[in-house]
Amino acid sequence: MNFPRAKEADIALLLEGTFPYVSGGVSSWVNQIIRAFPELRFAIVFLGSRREDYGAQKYDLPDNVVHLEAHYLYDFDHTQTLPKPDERTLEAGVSGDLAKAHDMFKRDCADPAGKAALHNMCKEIMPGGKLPAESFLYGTQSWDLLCERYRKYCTDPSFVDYFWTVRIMHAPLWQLAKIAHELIPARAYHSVSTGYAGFLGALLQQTHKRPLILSEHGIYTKERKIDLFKSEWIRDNRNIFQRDPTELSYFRQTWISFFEWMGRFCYDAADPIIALYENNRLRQVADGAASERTFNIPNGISLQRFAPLRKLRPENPPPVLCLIGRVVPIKDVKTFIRAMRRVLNQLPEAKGWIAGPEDEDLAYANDCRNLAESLGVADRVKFLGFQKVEDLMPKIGLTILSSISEALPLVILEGYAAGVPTVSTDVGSCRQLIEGLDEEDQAFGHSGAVVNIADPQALADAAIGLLTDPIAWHSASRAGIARVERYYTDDLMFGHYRRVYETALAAKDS
Amino acid sequence: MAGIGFELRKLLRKDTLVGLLQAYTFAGIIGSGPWVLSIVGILIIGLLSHSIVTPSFLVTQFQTSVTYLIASSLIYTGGVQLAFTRFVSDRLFEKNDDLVMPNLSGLLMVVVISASILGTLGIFILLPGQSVLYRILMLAGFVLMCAIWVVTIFLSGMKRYQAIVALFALGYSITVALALLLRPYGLEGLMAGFVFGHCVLLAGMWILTAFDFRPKTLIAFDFFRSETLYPSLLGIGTLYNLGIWADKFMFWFFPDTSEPIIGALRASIIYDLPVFLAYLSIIPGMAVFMVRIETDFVEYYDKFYNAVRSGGSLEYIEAMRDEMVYSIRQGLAEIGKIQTLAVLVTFVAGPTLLEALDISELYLPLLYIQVIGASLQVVLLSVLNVFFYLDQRRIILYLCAEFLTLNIVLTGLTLWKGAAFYGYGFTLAVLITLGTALAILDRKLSRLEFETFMLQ
Amino acid sequence: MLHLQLGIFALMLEAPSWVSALLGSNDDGALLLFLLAHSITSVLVSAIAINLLPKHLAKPRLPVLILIFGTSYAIPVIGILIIIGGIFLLHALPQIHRADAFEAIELPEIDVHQRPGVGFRQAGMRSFLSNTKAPVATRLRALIALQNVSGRVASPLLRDVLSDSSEDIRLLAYGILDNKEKHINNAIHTEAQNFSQASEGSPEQAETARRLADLYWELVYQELVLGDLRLHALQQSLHFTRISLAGSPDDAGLHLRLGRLLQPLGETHLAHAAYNQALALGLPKTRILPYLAEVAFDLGDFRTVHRLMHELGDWQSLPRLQPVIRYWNEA
Repeated sequence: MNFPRAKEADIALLLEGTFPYVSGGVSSWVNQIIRAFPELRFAIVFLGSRREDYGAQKYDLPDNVVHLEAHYLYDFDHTQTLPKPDERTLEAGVSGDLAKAHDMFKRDCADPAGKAALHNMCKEIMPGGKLPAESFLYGTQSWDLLCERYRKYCTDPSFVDYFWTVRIMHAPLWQLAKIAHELIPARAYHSVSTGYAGFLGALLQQTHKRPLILSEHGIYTKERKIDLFKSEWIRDNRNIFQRDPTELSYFRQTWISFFEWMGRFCYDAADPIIALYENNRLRQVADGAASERTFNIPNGISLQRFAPLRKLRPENPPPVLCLIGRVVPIKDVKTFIRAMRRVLNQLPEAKGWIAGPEDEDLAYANDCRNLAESLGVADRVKFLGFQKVEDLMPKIGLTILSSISEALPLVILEGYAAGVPTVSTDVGSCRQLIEGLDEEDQAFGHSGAVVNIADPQALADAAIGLLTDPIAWHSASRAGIARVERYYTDDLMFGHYRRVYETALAAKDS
Repeated sequence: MAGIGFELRKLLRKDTLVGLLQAYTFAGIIGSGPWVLSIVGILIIGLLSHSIVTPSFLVTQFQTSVTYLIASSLIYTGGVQLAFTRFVSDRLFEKNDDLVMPNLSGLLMVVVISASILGTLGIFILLPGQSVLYRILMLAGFVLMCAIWVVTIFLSGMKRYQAIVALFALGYSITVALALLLRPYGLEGLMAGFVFGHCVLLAGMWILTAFDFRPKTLIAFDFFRSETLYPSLLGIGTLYNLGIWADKFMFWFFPDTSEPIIGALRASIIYDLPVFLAYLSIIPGMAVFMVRIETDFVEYYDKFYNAVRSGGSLEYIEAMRDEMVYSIRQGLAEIGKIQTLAVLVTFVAGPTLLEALDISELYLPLLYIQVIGASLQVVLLSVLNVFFYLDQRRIILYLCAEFLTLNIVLTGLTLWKGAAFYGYGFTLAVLITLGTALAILDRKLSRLEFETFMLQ
Repeated sequence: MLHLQLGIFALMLEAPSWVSALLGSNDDGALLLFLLAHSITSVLVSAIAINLLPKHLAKPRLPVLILIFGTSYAIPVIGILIIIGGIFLLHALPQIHRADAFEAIELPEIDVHQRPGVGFRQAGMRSFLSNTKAPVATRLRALIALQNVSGRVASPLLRDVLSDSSEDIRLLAYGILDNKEKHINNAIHTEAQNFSQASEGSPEQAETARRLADLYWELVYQELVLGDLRLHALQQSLHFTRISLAGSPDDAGLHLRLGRLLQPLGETHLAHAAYNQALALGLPKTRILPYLAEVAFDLGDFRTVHRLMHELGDWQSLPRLQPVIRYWNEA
């Protein structure tokens, strides 16, 4: 695969695990944005975990993407190019900063001296700085610091696990510094998440003095927390005497703090900080974003694409419940399958469709199929794989969202535009999308139903209620159409982003 | 020699004087190794035949022949001995026990055929004009010794220490008995006894191996593959044995200190006997060293690395490191004490001993300095062993090279300086090498966790 | 025949008469002559010996030949004896299995890494968790502690906070519940496959059916399933319990399970019969009477409930039932 290369660009998009290699809400949003500004030259930095985790590109690159580079943070092949293990020492000033910055994480994250030390360190990890990767890997000071902090804070006895957790956690930072150092000049940086991409953005902002725009869809830190709460790969070596049952495994906690720290580092550097809806904005502020830099720009969709579909649908809603989305744990597809058990008990002619790629988490997809099997609904619940939304909309009666976490899901908007109401869990902005935000919005009426997460019974009942009551269904359908046309069109969104980009591009070097 | 610790601990745990005595005797014999055993053998043959065999020149010829056999076979197989020890313990650790026996045969094949070729050349070049029978026996003796060292190493890798000691005792009893029986036939008779005794020894060892393994294939050559063969170990084994023998060879071939004995073989009566006697004095030191290192040190060493691998706390890892250091320190201190005792005993009993052996009292200072040198060598050996445990092959290689060089240079210097300095060369070489080794060990141990984790 | 001839030839080469003449000499030529003759002998010896080896040991041929040759060459006469002995040994020896030595087990170490635990209150978990005024971090810790609590107690509590206003709490509760359920469902899937692979009516199938019944029951018992899913799990468990019962009709435990499944499914009379059967098959009264009382209560037969409760009153070993027993015995 030949990536386009350029000497410079207007906007450098920093994308972690999304466009163009992974399909999904954020990726199609990125695609939308790039195509909306054909006059701007985009550079894309894709950050992934390991090369083999990603297949071919899922999107055609728009013509105005002039530069693309992909980096894999947990491809450990590059360790071979590292120098032979050999003892290193650090300058006193740098090691002092190291200690200060790390103390800040444990005590007070707003401590100015700690912040200064941290920013200093982030300069020194750039190629040619005083804190090269080797000094972290083989340095006596880094060893001393590691031991000291283990003794002070680690509640898990296993030193070897502590050691490797710290190593694995820190290793990508130097790689990101190198990426930041080598990236072509851009007039503004735009990151679509905090995390590694956000950290890279902050490094770029620091070194090249160009503004960093941050658009957060989900809250990255929160999503990592979900992963970490559920993950079973993180070891807990505490025995019965060492364990305080109210404490999370130390390594889990460490990873969480690490992502929280990266988020804060990015918030400090980014301006503006854009959320999709109010709750997420508040969360950003709670996580350390300066309130005056934050505002909301909701997602928008193209009405021309979906409005014509309304005519294609039958008069009465087909009894088809459709979950559109990747088959991954965060979508909680299992709750949808469980709900189908009840739906089918009440409405035997109903069908459940799951439309979305399954390749992202094969084990989970398999679990879902097994569940359908063991609940005896396998013949009525179909896994369709990736589908064009336009083909689906006329054939379904409801879009279903059983996710445990969402931001502002495009699927709901697309359904509305095509006249399909939704039943969704109460996550992200879904309640706002279904029941309306302010008074004017609420006046449109409910465009579907909201239920609690992981409550298949309620989800099923809400869906049955809409599907068996044509009057309610049609009213919800009308409310949805009105709502999307008023608040969630792409024109609105592009207008907002045009202003954001113009400001950033015009900014003087800070 | 991992694994002996278990046996020793069993004995020590009996907590009786007899148990203690048993443990130390056992450790002494095993620790000093087959090499000391064979020196004891030579001395015994010498002593026994001294009064009986006439002319006494025959005994000297015999002893010299055997000494050359031992020295040359040790140097020749020194490299593969170490490398094969490592191979065996690696395979056993992987639970690939099946690979061990065929590879022993493979190594034996290579050693036997190459030693045969080398030996054949040797009997023509080094022993021209000697009787055909003597030369054939020398050839047989050389090949046998080479094979025996290899199998011995294999058996100690299999932890059959008692069997090794028993077989050596048997082999040497036969050697001595036959030598005495065949002494009317002169040098050839004595050599025939030696060869036959070693045949029994080798056969016994081989039977033992065959008992343990019912090999599926007779011969394999995995040992020679680059991923299982450590060139540094080959180097260490060769250099170490060369180092030990360097001063002796120099004395044998320096005209002032030596005389021709048989063929091209020369010996240095004044140097050899004190040296061999001195080596007897290291047996108690070796015993102490074995008990300390193989029980205490190994116990903490295992705990240290287990804790590192399987998630012990840093505090525990450090505590185990400290215990390791402590047991090494204890071990060295105890070797020091016991060897001081050995030196004192030699000082007291030396004159009587030399008199009994019919050696001039002029050589007494040489005996003293050699005893000190040998005692230091025990300490050096134990430090090297610690390095082996820490898998610091580069350091050992360096130390062995240092030892060899120093021994050659300093021995050369003493030979040039004159009789008053004889023996100081070797002792100084050991002392300096030991100093370096201790300095490096100190540094290594103080940074053990750092190196284990950060520089792995 | 060939072997014999070769052997005789070899012996002739080593024949004492002319060999002894050579051995007595001091001449290099004599030594060379002897070594040449001897190496030919050794080649013959190795050629014979390799054919006498057990077939599987004679490979790879060349190294084996060289080994035998070397031995025979280096150690005249005795070498041949050793080779013969070796061949005999390789044929004759059975492998000896030595018993492994006992393993020494270490005493546990004193753990220096222990920290004084932060005490947490055991009581009032439900009200504490649902108290939205309490700091989220503290409630999270309480939730984490619930991970170590059995599903039957924890599930309702966790389900309660699924609709909590704090997203972190919702997500953690969801994660814990989901993991519990995933473990059981994975087990169900594996067993279901075993079940369909086992042959009809075989003991393995009965055994798998029993495990499946247990697993579905576990979903119900831990309150991991509600509503229609609970109904489904009950029906599945019933289905497999019946299959299992067909195989071992005298299993009292299975009859008890049958009763407990039938009761929530509304088959009160059948449940009653199942309990009685379990009792008849020898389950202790204390285990069955509470359920029989429940059935009687469902049927509106309060007199029987009273009688059964009175009977239970003699037993002190049912702490959780004590209040109920006291109530009925007062009335």
